[in-house]
Amino acid sequence: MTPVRIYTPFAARVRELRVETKDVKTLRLVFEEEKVAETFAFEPGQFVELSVAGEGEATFCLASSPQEKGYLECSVKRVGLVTEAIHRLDPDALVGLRGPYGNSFPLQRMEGRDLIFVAGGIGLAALRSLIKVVLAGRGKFGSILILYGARSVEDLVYREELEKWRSLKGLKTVLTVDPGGESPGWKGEIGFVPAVLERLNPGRRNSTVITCGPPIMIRYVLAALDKMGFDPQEVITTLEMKMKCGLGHCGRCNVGPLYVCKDGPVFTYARIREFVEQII
Amino acid sequence: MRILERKTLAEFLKNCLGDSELIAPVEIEGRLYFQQLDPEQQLAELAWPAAAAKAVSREHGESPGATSAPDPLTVNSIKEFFFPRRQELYEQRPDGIIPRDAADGKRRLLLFARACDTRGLTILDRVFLGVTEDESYGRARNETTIVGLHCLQPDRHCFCTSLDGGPFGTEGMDLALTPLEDERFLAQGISDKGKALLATLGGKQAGEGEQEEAEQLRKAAEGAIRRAIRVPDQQTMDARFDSPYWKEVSRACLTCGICSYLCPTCHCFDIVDEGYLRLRCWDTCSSDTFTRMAAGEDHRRLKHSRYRQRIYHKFSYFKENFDTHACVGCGRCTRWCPVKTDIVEIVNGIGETAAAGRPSGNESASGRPVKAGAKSTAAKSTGRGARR
Repeated sequence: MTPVRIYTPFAARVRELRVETKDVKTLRLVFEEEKVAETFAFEPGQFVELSVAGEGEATFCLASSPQEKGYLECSVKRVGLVTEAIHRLDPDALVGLRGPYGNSFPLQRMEGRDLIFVAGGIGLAALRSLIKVVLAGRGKFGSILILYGARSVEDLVYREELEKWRSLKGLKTVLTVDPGGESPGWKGEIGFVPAVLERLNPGRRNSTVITCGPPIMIRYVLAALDKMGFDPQEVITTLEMKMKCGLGHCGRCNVGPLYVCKDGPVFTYARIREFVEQII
Repeated sequence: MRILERKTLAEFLKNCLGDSELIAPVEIEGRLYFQQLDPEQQLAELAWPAAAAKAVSREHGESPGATSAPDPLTVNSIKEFFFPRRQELYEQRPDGIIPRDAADGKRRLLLFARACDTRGLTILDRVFLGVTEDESYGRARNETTIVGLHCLQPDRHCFCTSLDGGPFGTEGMDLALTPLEDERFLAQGISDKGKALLATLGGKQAGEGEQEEAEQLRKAAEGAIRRAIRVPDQQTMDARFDSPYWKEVSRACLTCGICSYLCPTCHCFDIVDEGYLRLRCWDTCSSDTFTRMAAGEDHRRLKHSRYRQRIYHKFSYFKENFDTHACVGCGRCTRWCPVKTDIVEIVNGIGETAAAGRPSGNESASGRPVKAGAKSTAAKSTGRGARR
């Protein structure tokens, strides 16, 4: 049979393996071939298939900004075979990378609007690319709120960046940890993300919410936003789903008539409302 | 249209074959299987292929004790010759990625495909030749000439006529053969490729009598199909999604996946590693690992939700996306299910149970609303003998 070239990845070299938490590392990757590096383009919200020799392939969102040239970043939480293997990689290891796949965040539609980012755990990785682009074009958007929570203080990712964001003017960054996850001297909030969101009660008039986190968090965040009267058209989430091909062929991420890989991973709440219970 | 005698058929097939590879049904322990043949097998097979012998035997596949005439339908469908069960994608070593060599582009002749199977290919085309073309599938489609064989002996599991198909369908074929009396075949060019092939053949032009004979056979074959699937409209499908019906009808399912593997239209696959080789392998949505993520999240944890996924994918989602159901009515899933799960019974039951709860809905064939999961109705309508 003819080889299926659509699945053959580009070779990429690990340039940095940053430890974020005890089970999250951020990889910085550089394509081996210059031509690939020059032509590879993506939008915030898209994902790639990352593979390790002899271990397998798995789906990760691109966590770096498309405006950062010369490298890509993915943050990987250690949960299974492939992610274990990624965590064990040498700093100079070779991996496979194919993509980018899926749609992206509707950046143009967000212009002029107040943006509310709501993230939990490793879910912040899926929003980081967008946040970076928004912060780089700060003037095009209204007020910005970033609400980010994790199980405990030790589980917060991108600690340095969070500090930087906290120091920026005109940007409100609220951090929270689950009850019991606080450390001595913790100055942030204590409580689950949906509850903190309700407490903050951000205005909904000219706001767009972008949320990602563990399924249980997304579910309760959507419910909270419903309660607070947000327009489902202005609530955007990005979904995680087991995927293999990334092209809408393998059937794995099919829910209702949608394929998360090609119709998503970015959806408005309005689009997925009828399938929410099947997905998250 | 031309007439091929037994002798001219053999010559014609040899002509068609040229230096192509041959894929044809072969008989193994009384059953037919599509296989790619080696050169020696090829010669023997071309002289008087197993499927041709079956097609002209006129013995009904399901007549009691008819061990000499097993199903004229092959156990496997033809999809594996376009979308292989196991396909090497590339090699990934710690020091680099090694793509697979380009194929030699060998042409292939696929003999005696049934209308259900070739229509199945046109359904797979919608997926694999869609927005992103699967190059391997596309090449295999282009490099294969398909000679179809009309079906005289639909059996008690067939229901193609209720899904835009029929035993004399030609969709997806290059050439169609109809077996007439006395070991003659009516040959009809369907695609340009098939018409060109037919033009190279001497043979006799088909007369009115022969066309009439074929027409009578078509009517008889269509009349022999006693089952019909009645797919509810989208509204009913949506309304029944959360029904306890799905737990009832999937209770016996072993999630073995044979329905998916034998199905001409099921196309879900996995990408897995075997050493440094990365492979694409068939998979099934009924498997309990299909949607389970590494961290344990799984939105189809329960068996009935996976069974329901298979039905909805075929009869609701695929229809919405591609304007056809992903089912051709070949009946393989029912023939080979180890626990006798019957897709016709289950799909028909969706609408019937919905109707039972509503004042103005469909009724069953007997005119009475049918209770959810009622085994008895389908058992009666599918008729004689024990199902396998």
